Amino acid sequence: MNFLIFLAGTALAIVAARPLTSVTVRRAGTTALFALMACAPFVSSSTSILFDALTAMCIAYGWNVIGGYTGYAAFGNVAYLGLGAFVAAGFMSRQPGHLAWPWFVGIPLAVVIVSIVAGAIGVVVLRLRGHYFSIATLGVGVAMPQVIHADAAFGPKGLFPNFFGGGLPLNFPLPQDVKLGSLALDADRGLYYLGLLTALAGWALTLRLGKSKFGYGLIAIRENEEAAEVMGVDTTLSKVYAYMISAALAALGGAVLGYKLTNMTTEAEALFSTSNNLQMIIICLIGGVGTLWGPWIGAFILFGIQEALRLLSSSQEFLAWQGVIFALLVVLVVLFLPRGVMLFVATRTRLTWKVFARNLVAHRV
Amino acid sequence: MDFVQHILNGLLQGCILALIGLGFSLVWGILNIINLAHAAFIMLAAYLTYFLWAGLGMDPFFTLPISMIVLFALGYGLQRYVINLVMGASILTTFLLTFGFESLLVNLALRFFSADTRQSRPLYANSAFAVGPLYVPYTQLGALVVALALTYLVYVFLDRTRTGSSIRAVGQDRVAARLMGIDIGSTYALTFGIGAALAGASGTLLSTTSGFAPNQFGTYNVLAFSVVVLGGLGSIPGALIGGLVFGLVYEFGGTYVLSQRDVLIFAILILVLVLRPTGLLGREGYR
Repeated sequence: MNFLIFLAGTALAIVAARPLTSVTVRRAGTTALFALMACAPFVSSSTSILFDALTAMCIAYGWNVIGGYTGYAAFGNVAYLGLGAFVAAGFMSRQPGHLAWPWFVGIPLAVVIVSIVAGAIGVVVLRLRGHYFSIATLGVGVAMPQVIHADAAFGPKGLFPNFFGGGLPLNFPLPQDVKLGSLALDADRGLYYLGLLTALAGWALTLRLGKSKFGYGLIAIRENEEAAEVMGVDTTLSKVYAYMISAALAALGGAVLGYKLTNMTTEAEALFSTSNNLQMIIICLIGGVGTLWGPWIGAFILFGIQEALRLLSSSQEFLAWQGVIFALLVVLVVLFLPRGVMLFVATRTRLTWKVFARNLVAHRV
Repeated sequence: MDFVQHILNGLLQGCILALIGLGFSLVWGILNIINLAHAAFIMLAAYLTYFLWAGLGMDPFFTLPISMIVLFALGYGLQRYVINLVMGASILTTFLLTFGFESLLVNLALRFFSADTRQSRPLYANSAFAVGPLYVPYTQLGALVVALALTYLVYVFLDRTRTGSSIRAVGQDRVAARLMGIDIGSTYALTFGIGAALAGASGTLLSTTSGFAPNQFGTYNVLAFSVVVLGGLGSIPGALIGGLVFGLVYEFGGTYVLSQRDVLIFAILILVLVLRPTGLLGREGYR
């Protein structure tokens, strides 16, 4: 069932994204897609993988802002993903000494705090370009999991004593069943809608971005930073804002992921993993970097493939090979389809072997 | 005396870091690629040495030529048949491709070699050479000699041989080099192969000096980058100095300053990038 939802969702997103069809059809496609997503938990028995796809999509939308629109190959957004989860846990945890605030306070607060942190880091790292920027952000990703364990700031006698647990793992309150008037939602469905909300936040933000002066400024920076500067774009400020938005979406996705995990133990440390780091980039790449629908299509294709593999093989076997398959996918997409599925959606290019062959040799020495 | 011992340990560790940085710097300087698979190459060589030692009982230091040749072949093939296809594309493309290979190799290693920590421990692993109150483990001493010898060899190769000159020429001006009759594709492959062989040598050395597991190598990419940035891109003495400095930082940082070494290294990296982007000895071309 989930696989069918992924399939239908991808098809509808492609309809909605295709600029060659009429506006009415595209609007209808968008509406149908959102309706499908809203109905999903009542059609599918387990929405767990849909939830994963939607939160990953939100994080990918975040990467798309800095990596796609602005053209700065950021490799450390995973730091903000994990930080978002841990900060939210810090506010929401029921451990003694923590505030145990509800999710609708804790998660937005985490997003705001992480954006501010990202702004401060961005001011420094965005002075760098190209390779230097990428590695500096990669360093942020490597350093962040150690920062949250730094005794000076978060130890028993630190600036924020034991904010991240200090030895004891933090734990989110268990998601409760929600009652809105006559509408009753069990905890799983409630979480799913929270995931859907994050994805829609990423989508809506990207939609706004594509139509705003700020968004055009970012694209100008990507195409030629000096020219953008001359044309009156405040490049430094724009880049820092883009980086903050990017981190905010990563934190949002991360916080909601953490909320689902509940206990911030070793599994939560894995939020900082390389595969999470790679996932947001590969989602954008599969769909199409720097486009509105790219992350949506990419996330649905990636998780659709995962679901299909899970159906075909025993899950134990699948888990063991997941990392390998994932990495292989990165290599293949980079080599054969660097512009993603959008190449076929947005242009008149036909899906033939020749296209892949041409992509493969397009940039050789 | 503790203090002097720490300095010694840091310098010994630093020589291996210099070797790691050297391979990374060569590929970056000549091909303009950040090779994120560098750490995975180190890992592969470490396992190769481990299995040759554990399985066939070979002395870890005698596996050095084997791991260098195997890694050279791997690097050469990878560049020749895969990475050369995207050399004209954007930074993101080469970055992602090498990151993809890194991830692929690490995941394969996790799958086949498991996440257990291993170390090649020959009989002399625990014995040390004593100078007064100071101790130098024999494995560390061997690593020091190998690292310095290889660094010197690379220097001589690039500076004195015809092939070395053509590599430097490609790094300085690709178009002019092609007009002079240099085959760019195979020079790239050769350079990448040498870079991988140096990573292989460092992997062999690391497998004797410390325990390792597949997912512990990621740090070496950032570390190699930091070594190169501090020393200056395109400078062999720079890589050596950068390596020694970071060896000391690693030793002292872990002991006296912060238990979070990566944070410290990252802070130094950012500081150098912002204050002196060309590094200590950086210059145009490759020397």
